[in-house]
Amino acid sequence: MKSFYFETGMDFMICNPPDNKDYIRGDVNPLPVYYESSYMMALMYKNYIGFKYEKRVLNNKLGLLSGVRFTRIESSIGRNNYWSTGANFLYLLYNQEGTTTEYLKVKDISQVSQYLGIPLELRIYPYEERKVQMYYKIAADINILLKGKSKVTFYDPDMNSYSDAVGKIIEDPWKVYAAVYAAVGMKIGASDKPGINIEACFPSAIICNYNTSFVEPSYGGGFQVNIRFPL
Amino acid sequence: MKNYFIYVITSVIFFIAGCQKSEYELEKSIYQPDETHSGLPAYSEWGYNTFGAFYERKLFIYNENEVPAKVINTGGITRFILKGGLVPSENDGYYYNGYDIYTPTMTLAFELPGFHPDVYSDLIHLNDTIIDLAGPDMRITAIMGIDTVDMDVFNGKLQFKRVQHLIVDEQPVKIILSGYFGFQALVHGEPVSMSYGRFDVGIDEYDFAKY
Repeated sequence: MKSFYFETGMDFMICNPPDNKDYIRGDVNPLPVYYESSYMMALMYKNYIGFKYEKRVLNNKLGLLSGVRFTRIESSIGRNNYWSTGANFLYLLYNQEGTTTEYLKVKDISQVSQYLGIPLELRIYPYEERKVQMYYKIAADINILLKGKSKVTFYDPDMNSYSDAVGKIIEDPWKVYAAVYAAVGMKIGASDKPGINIEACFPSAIICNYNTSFVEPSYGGGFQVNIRFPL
Repeated sequence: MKNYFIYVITSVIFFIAGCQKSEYELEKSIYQPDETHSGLPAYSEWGYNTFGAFYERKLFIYNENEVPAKVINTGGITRFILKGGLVPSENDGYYYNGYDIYTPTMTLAFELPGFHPDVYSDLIHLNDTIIDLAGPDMRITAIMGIDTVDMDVFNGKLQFKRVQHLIVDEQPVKIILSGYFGFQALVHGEPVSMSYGRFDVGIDEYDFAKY
């Protein structure tokens, strides 16, 4: 059995706090630790579209898939505020030379990057063929950077002229990264007719060079929707 | 008309409150632990408003209740003053930063002979300066609790390793003083030591006084 899929999906990644960056002034909680009101945080999510081909083997119990995937990743560093007592900005070290140190007050730094990748998936179909059939998946993809850009939201809009300079301070997007994840899916529709596959992906992780990473994703999860065409 | 007036006043109050909050951020102390000397803040040059040293076997360290550093020029004498707490060294300094544990205060004042700043920004001239604390014109005074002690220093130095203008959004806001200190002195005839001292403090117009 062979199938062709159009896919789209989204993953949200939990990231480590960005408290060791040499261009961001250290942070301190204004209240005792049990009443955190404000802290620096990093966020990351990615969404993707693509297409892939599936060949079922071993009496249709195993599906092997591969194709092409376009991924857009948005990462950001900012400050989370529970109450109004915390500052809603962070100090970014813009220049430190001789006896002068310059900070810029920044509300948010984000980085948007686009990748072209190859997904590799292994699906396990342990149950009998039905119109609604559960299956399990382990998957990975490897991706190459197409382009990336950064965006800075300054506390004082008059500082917007520093946007390009700040973009050069922060880390470049990963040139190459890989993602691995597990999923449980639901195939809807008969196998010999067009249908839909919906998958819940968890956990997912990213393999990259963390030493030069703008954010450090630890793990995450997401969903994927496939439109299926039998071949 | 009355509602409009209230709206304007409220907006002005919130605007001013917002401005004050943003300035306050640089007054906070940020503790980054020293990996080698437990309890001391790591040496830094960010203006983290911290200092620490071992005074004999105790920790002389900043706390959240006192302004950690001031520079005062009075009577023709300029003093660099560190103020914090004197706490047992076996306790992590982080827990003595002002929550609910009583911390005896300690003040250490270094006279800076021949240095006469008129405004706080003149402190930039201290950049890359080492002062011999055992020099003939040098005087160090400590206030521990209610006791004032003249320390008869016979060995030691105060180093302003890096002094920087701190500029935020193109506006000068502080001078950052970063450096080390350590000395041996006679106190009531007994040799005592202040060792592994380091400071990273911001001085602005409110932390500097000339009178």
